[in-house]
This record gives sequence, structure tokens and C-alpha cells, in this order.
Amino acid sequence: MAKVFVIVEHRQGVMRDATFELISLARELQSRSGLEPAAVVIGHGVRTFADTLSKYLPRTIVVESETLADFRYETYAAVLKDILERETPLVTLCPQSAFGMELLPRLSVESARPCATDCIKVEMEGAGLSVVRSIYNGKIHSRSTFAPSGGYLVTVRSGSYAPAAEAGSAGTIDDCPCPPFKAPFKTEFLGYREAAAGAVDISQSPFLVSIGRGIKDAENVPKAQELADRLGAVLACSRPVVDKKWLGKERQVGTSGRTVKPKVYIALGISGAFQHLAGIKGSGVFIAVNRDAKAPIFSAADYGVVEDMFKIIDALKEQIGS
Amino acid sequence: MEILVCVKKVPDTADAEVVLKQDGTGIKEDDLASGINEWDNYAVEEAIRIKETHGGTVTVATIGSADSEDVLRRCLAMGADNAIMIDDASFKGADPYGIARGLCGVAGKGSYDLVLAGAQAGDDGYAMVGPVLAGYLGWPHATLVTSILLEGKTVTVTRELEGGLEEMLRIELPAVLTIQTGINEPRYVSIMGIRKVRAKEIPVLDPAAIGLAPGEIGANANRIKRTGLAVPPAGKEAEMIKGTPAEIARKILDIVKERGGVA
Amino acid sequence: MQQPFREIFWNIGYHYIFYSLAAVATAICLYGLLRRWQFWRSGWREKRDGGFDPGLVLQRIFLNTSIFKGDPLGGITHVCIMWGFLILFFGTALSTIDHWMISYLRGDLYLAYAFVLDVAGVALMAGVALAYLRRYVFKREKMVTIARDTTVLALLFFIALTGFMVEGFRLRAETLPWREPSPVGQWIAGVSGLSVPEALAAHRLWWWIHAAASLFLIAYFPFSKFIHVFAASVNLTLEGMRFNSYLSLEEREALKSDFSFRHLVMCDACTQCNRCAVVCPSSIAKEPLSPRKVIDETGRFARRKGGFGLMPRRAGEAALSKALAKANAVEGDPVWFCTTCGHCRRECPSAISPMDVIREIRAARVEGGEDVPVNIQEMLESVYKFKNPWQGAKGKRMDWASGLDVPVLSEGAKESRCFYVGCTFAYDSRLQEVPRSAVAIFKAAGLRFAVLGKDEACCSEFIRGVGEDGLFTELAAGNVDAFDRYGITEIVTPCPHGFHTFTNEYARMRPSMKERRVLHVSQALETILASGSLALENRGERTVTFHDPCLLGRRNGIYDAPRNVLKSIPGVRLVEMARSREKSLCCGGGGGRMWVEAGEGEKIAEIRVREAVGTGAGTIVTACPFCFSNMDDAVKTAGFEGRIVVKDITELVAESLPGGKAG
Repeated sequence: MAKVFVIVEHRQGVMRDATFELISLARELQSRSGLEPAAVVIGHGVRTFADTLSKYLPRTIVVESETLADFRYETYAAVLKDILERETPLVTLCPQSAFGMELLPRLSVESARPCATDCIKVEMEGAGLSVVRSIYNGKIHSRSTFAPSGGYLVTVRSGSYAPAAEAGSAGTIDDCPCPPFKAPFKTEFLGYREAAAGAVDISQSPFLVSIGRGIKDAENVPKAQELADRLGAVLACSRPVVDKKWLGKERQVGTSGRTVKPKVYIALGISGAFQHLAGIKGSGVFIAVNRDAKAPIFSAADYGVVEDMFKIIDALKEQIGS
Repeated sequence: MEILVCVKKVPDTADAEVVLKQDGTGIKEDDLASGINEWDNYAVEEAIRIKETHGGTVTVATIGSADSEDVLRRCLAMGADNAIMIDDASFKGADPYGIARGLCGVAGKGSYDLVLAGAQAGDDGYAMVGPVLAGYLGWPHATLVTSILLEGKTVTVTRELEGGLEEMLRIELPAVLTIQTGINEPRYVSIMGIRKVRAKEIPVLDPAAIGLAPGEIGANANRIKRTGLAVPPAGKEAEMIKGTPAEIARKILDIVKERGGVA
Repeated sequence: MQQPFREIFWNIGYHYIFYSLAAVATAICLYGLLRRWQFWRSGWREKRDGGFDPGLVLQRIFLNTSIFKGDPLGGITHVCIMWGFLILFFGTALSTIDHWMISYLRGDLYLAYAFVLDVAGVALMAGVALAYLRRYVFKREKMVTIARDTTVLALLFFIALTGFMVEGFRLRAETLPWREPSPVGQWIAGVSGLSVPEALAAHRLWWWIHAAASLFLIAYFPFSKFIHVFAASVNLTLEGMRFNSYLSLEEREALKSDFSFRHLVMCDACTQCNRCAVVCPSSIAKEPLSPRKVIDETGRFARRKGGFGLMPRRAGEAALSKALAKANAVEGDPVWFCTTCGHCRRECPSAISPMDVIREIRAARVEGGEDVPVNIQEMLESVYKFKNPWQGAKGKRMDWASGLDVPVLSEGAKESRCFYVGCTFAYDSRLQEVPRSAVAIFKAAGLRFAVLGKDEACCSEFIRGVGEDGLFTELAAGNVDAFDRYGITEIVTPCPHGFHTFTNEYARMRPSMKERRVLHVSQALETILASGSLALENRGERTVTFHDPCLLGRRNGIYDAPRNVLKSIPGVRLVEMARSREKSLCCGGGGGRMWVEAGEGEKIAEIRVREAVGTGAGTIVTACPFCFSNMDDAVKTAGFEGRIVVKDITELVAESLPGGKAG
């Protein structure tokens, strides 16, 4: 029976959420097209991940080696190529992330299997695989199939599938030996570091909570800061907030501040001055909260909420807390 | 240090209404502004900065029709030494593998130490050409690069990971690096600057000149086959979320999660 | 009786020493003047829009009318020094001619000559004394005093004083059959109390001192701030002929130097009087820009770069090269703070235009590509890509007219009058009400018009203002092509930026623009309302104040049209701000300043809004999209919401249209 593999992404001892979204997709391919799903986890000290994964999928393949301690496409691609050639899965899934973007295109060349990246929908179409990709800033959806091949590689945009819940039964765990590597390696992992600690760079943040004049007073800024912290977002603002020196200039969004393109932009109490809106062109999803139903921000936002921003801040904090 | 930078002209769709062509094979570009792919612009700037510090030359290459010439001229005005255009109808509709094949041919024509490319393109956004090209060349690669430090025959780079984290790698040259936005502040290119390089010759190569056989590239050779384009349903005005503050907050959190806001 | 006359070199020997020194001084002076001339000539040639107006030039140069403007005491001081100096200088020259060539200073003519020179001496000393008082005692607002000013004033005073002393000692020692009409000389002769031999000795000593000081002045003249005598005269003449820095791209590409002849003359014409900084909006808001400093530094930079250093000055070069040659801290770089409001130029007694020099420096920066603020770069890239500074898609340029029936030239409408909307009015949702109002008024008045639609591109006035001449030329050519293509004979625009550049730069660029009538919408409204074809209705009694957009008012002299429009709206009472018309304070948004922000302190627009609130008006009326945006923001940030609102003049008129919405 044809197989679908999920390449497990983990970093610094933690499995990343995107993996569980792919498990949902693998289950969907199982139920709709009869593909046999399995997780593939490779690395060093990943046995505990396998135990967890076995609660989600009927089969987990583990490759454990000290050489695999830190992710390098060179070693990971070599191991995966070996697995793909032995197991010949029809579909191999991986998150579209710094991990998947580094690994899968290269694996595609090394293993001579076609790859489609950043897909938002993956389904079987007869014997072939069909994917949907969101292109041109999300304004067009493109459907593609592949030239016939023994296996297809796919990276999936995070958020395209809901994270899976644990399955009822425990799956099997297959320990595979690590194949020998063709040393010397051309890449060497040196370590992690926090990007640009200290100075806030709102233009690099994928998630911004932005406040405007609706914040009313400097005393209220910490409320918004707390919300941003709890959401894992960076606090930004519109010009009047900077003008009043409630936040630093480096947090100002707009043509006279910073131009930003976050994945998610939540505007609280911002009316939507043109210069501000020009600074968030090309952002992902844009949610606006404003008391004024006629505020121009609502014609630019994807989602609108006509409500007092403080009520929403409190409600959000409550929801996160629960 | 000989550097090749792969660039591409893309339409700007950030704030524009995108309309499909009648036959559904692509989008109407008449009303769209177009220019150098944003990521590529950073790559060109980075290459020029490396050249300014370490010497050498910067060559920019694009696969595209004659209307991509302005993008190459812009790169020359920024400070690139040479530009190469691979202009052939056989590349029309090529997938990332076809494009990488073409660029591999270009890279093979020179003796480059470093190939830079944008991490992804603003149109189809595969983010594949760089690593696939590296695979074809048999060179090491790094994607989403946010800093480059040249040290003899190696480069130390940082890669952007999620949640404000970066990883540091040492890579042997020659290598392919794909550049993330924000790695530098690209210089402004004035029209006067572009005028100064207007007479500079840009060789136009056909696939044969870079060692590609007909049929090796182009839509028929594609491994990813586009079968259809569609405009996703989207309202112009914001979709209003109604309910109690708690209900609204729940919905907002759902949207945030769905759209990858939570790192 | 012997005719009254004066023997030259009376009581003085060693004439050859004096003549040798005089020759040396004259040679140094001529050399200095030659170097100045070479320096000016190293600049490129500008073209002019106007002709020579001798009356205007004579008034400004010889009557100092431009110095009196706004500062009568300054005018008096300058006239005293200038005419005192000129009379004494040429008087001395006359006596030399009298001695060596033709004898004519005899009898009554000599007596008159002696009297006039005495009066001139008094005037000069009085002028210098006044200047000292103004500088050191009263300390006129923001007047900048440097060591050089003290030196030149002291030198003038000393020469005049020693001249009187020489005269006094001579009158004491000489027994003349006539009484010389030299009151000061006579007075010194009287109070000196010297014996004749003592007076002869004192005369000899002080004659040589006076001569040495005078010859030093001659030699020092071209190397000191005295050079402004020539440079300011040249600049006032050039300005009167409307020389300007507009060049075609081809001409610009062929340039071998950074600045034009006129720019370099301006640097030498500046006496550091600092009147520019007193009115400069950026200086007023305590931003890093001082127009005076820009001119000073540019002059020193250009001289050094071109190898025209007159007095080598090592000190200050580091600061200079940082400020001008390559600014590392672009954000604090003064040249990006200029709003091109033109107030400095209007205020300068020598018609120096720091704005023009700043534009050239910006052009060099933009061509270099690296010392340009990021926001300006992004704006320029937007204009390059989208043909508007707001990253607005081409397909959305007509969004402002949604629901209105507006004839569009690019969609086949045939009209000879083009309504040029402008980018900000077309794309800024708050400002879209302005072109909509204009359309309502035109329709009510039966005025035929059409818009360019997708063929409309940014007028690029501020693109030229920030120095991106290439981009300006490309977009301007596209706009003129469109006007030509559709056979447009009249352009009406609500944007003063478009209005200014169409009538000035575009007209210099393309002859077809000279034949087109270009109107700001306030002028069109003035005509419509004056014709009486439109009966406006009273929407309630309101007090408004009018903010003059710089590009409409000061830069193009249109002050009355918008005021006449306001006066024709029933119920509207117009009050003026202290700074209005030609003295209007810029909103802070011109010259690319919409994209450059100063970090600290009260913003220019906030200062302006505060001033408007002070008039008691409930509405600030303006006629420019940038003025509107800036002041609308400032009303909020300065906390005047609820007390004053900002409106465009077209909105105010449209509100009073019969059947229009209530204001």
C-alpha cells in the first residue's frame, strides 16, 4: 500500500507544532485515499519524540545518531534519501519552515523526486498527487500536479491544517540504523543565537499588535504590552503614540516609521490614517479593532471589530489565560 | 571573489487587484507595476557590499524576456559589473527545476565562488531555485541567510529561524546562499545612475549557449505541472466579527493561530 | 585769492614707498577677485526665465530695498556704511585722478567735495557704530557674530577715524586762506591743542597709519566678507533675471561640477546675517537645518573641492566633510529637513536661495544612492514603480471617483480642460473628498472637464525637490505626453505641487506646456464664484483662517484667489494668522518632508496649528494635500481636536452648494 511520511521538525529538544498539522494531513490522506501514514523522526535524543508520535500515527521511524544532533541539510538529506529509497513512500510531507525550506528542495535533487513547496492543500487525484499553492500575495490559488514519479515531496504552509489530536491506539516504533556519511561535510553547525537582541525591529516580526490613539493614555500602554507579550507578538503603534512619546520611534508603523509585512497584524484603536495603512501593505491577515464603525481602517482590514479596544484586550487576555 | 546573483522581475501584487487572464494560464499584468523581486534586491546589494570589501566582480543573471532588461540595468547601476540575460521562449512556464537548470548552465560558464539568490520570489514563492541550483552544481547551500562573513575559503552565515532565533553555519566555498530580506539596506538606484549604464552591453544567451538541450527545459519538461489558477473568494471590506467580547476574542485567537501568528 | 584746493601728499615724503605698497595691495586685491571669479566660473551655467530689469537691480543694490524689508534699522545701518564707504573710496580715487591726470578739484567744487567726504566719514562711523550696537548691545534676534564681523567693522571704523585725525592735524598745521567745510576735521584741529610742529609730526604719523590701514583693506577686500559687495550685486542681478537650476537630463549628465555659477556666487554673497534661519520652518522647530549654515558650509566645501581655497583653513574641515561630502548619520543630515518653502530666499537681502543649493546636494546624494533616508528611498521606489508615492496600484487611481460620473480621457472622453487630481487626493481615502467636491462644483457650474485616469502619473514636484531629477523627468515627460495626446489646453488641479511644477519646471522642459493655461483649483473657483453663476447657500456662521500653501503663495504669488473664494461663501468670516501670505509658515510637508520626520520637539505643523487656534477660527482652510494631512495630524497630536478642524477650500465651497450637504 502507498505510504505518506511526515518528516518531524524539532529544534532544541522540542517538536514544533507544524508537525502535528502535517499529522492531520497524513490522516486525511489515509482516510480519503488509503495512504499508510508514518512519522519520520531523525536526530539525536529523539527517542522520546517517537514515544509521543506513536500516540498519533500507526508507525514512527526513528533514526538516532550523534551526528544528527544539530540539523544540517547534508546529514538529514542523506538519512532521508536512504529511507525514501528503502521505504518508497508516495508522499513525503514537511513543514514550510526554515527547516523544510532548507531541506526538502535539496532532498528533491538528491533523491530525484519532485517537490512542491508552501502548499496549502494536498490531495490525491487518481494515482497522482495534486497540491494547491497560494501565490501572488495570496491573491491567486494555483493547483498543480507532478510529472509521474516514484514519490512526491511536499512542504505545507503552517496553519493550513489544524493540529492533530492523539489517536486512540499506540503505534509501532521502527528504529533504523543511521547510514554512513560521506565526510568531510561542507557545512558546519556553529550554534544558535537570538536575533538582534535589544533593539526592537518591528519590520522583522511576523506578528504585530499595534496600538493607536485609542490607547488614550501612556498609563494604558502596559496593558497592550502585556497582551502582546502573552500572544508572543511585538508591540507596534501608529504615529500619534510615538508623537506623544508613549512608545519609541522604532515601533512606529507607517510611511514615516517602519514599513512592515507581518503575517498577522492586529490594530487596536487605530483609525487608519493613510500613511499608516501604506506602511502595512502586503501584510498577511489584518484584524482591526476600533469603536468607530466608519473608521477607514475597516476598508483595509481583513477582519473588523467595532468595540472598545480595552474590552477586547481584556477578553483576549482571559482567553489566553484559560 | 567572483559572485553570481540570480534575479527575477516580478509583478507587484501587494496592493493590487489581481485578475486572471481569460484562458486562465496566468494573471493580467497590464495594470500591475513590476520590478526586481524584493529578496533579489537584497541579494544584489549584499553581493556588491562583499565586492566593495573583498574585491572581485558581481555578475547578475536573469531568465526572462526582453522586458526584464530594466531590472538588469538597475543592478548594473547599483554596482554590478556584468549582466547576463537568458532569454528564450523555451523557459516560458518553466518550474523551479527548469529555472535552476538554466542558472546552473550560467554558473557553469564562469568560475564563481559564490552564487546568491533571493530566498523566494514575490510571484510564485517556491523558495526552491537556490537549493535546487546548489544540488545541480553539487555545491553546499544555505537558505534564508541574514548575514554573511567571508573568511578565506569559507563563509560564516546566519540563517533566520522562527521566533527571533538564528542559527550560525560555516560553509565551504563555492556555495549557493539564498538571501532573506533585511540582511542589509539596499542602496537607492537613481534614474541618472541607470542612464549611466544604458550603453553597457548585456549578452543574451540562448539555452544552447549554456549547454541545455531543447526539451530539457520549458513547460513540457516541468516536474511540477500547473493545472489551474483561481481567484480565492475574498471580500473587499473587512469581515466584521460580532458577538460578546469573549466570543470576539476567541475568534481573533483562532484567526491568529490559523494564520501562523503564534510562533 | 588762491582757489581752495588740497595738495596731495602735503607734508608727506617717500611717495614711492606709498605707491609701491599701493601697487602690492592692488595686486593682491586683483588676484583675490580673479580667484573669486574663477571659483564662480567653475560652476555650471544656468538658464534664465526673465530679462534684465535695471530698475529692480538698481533699487536692490544701491538703495538696499531688500535690506530695509522687515528691518529698517538694518537698512539704515547698511546704507550708512555702504554709501559712506563708497563716497570715501571714490572720493579718494577722485583726488588721485585730480593729482595725476586732470586738475578739477578747485574752488567751490573742492569745498563741496571736502564737505561731502566729511559727511560720508561721519555716516560710515555712525553706520559702524550702529552695527556694533546691533551686534553687541541689542543683540538682534538670532544674529550670528563671528570674529570676522568684528574685524571688518573695526577696520572700517579705524580707517574713518584715522582719516578724520589726519584731516584734523592738517587743518591744525596748515594756514589756509579759506575755511574748509570739514566740521569733524575742524573740530579735531580745535580740540587737539597741538602746536604747528607737533601737528605736522602727528599728521605725518597718522597719514601713514591711515594709508596702511586703507591699503590693507584693499588687499583684504576680496578675501573677507566684503566680497559680498560684488557677489550680492551679481546674485541680485541673476535673481532678477530669474536664473534657475533647471537642466535637462542630458545637460545634467554632462555636468563637471556640483554647483552652478549662481550657487557659488550665493555662497560668497552670504554675510551670515541669519535672516533665513529666523524664518526657516525647520529652524523654528529646532530641527538640525539652518539655511545659513548650509550656504556657509557649501561655500567652504566647494572652494576646497575645486581648489579655490583662498585662506586655507584646516580646522573645521572634518566637520565640513561630514556635513556635506558624505553624511554618515543620514537621519540627522540637515539637507533632508528643507521643506522648500522658499521663505529663506524671500527673506534674504541678497536673494540667496539655500533651497536651490540644498536641492543640488540632495541630487548628489540620490545619485550616490547611499546617503538617502530609507523613507525617501521607499517613496522614490514607489513613484518609480507605481507612479505615485503611496504604493497605490494603477488600477485604483480612479477609486476616489467611485459613484461619480467623471469623464476619463484614457477611456475615450474628449475635453480640452483636464482636471489633474494628483496622487494624494486620488489615493488617500480621507482626502478623496476634495476631488469629489471639485467635481460637484464643476458640475454645478457647468464647467466641462475630464481626468487623465490611468494615464495620470505623479507630478513629481517633490521628486525633483529631493533631487531625483531622472525620475522627475521620466514622469513629467509622461504627463506632458498625455496632455499633448489628449489635446489639453487648460489644466485645473487641486494640488499646488502639480500647479507649481506644471507652470515652472514642465514649462522649461517642454514648449507645449507654455501654451497651456494652468490653474490651481482656487483660481478656477474664484472665476466661477465671481461670475455669479453659482449661488452658494449659507451653512451657518463660521470663522475660518487660511493657511497659504507655500507652492501656491510664496513660490507662485497666489494669495488672493483662495481668499476671494472664502469671502464669497456666505456665512464664512476670514481671519488671518500672524504669519500669513508671503510670511506664511510652511506646514512642514514640502520638499519630501512628508517622508522625513524629526524626532524631538514640537512639529512644524503643530506650531502652525497652534497659531491657527490662536486666531479663534474653528476651521483651518488650506488648498494642498500635504498641508491638509500634516495639519490634520497636528490637530490630533497637539490636542486641539474639537476646537479646530482642517478643511480643503473645495470642500468648504462644495458644502455650500445648493442642495449640498450641510457643513
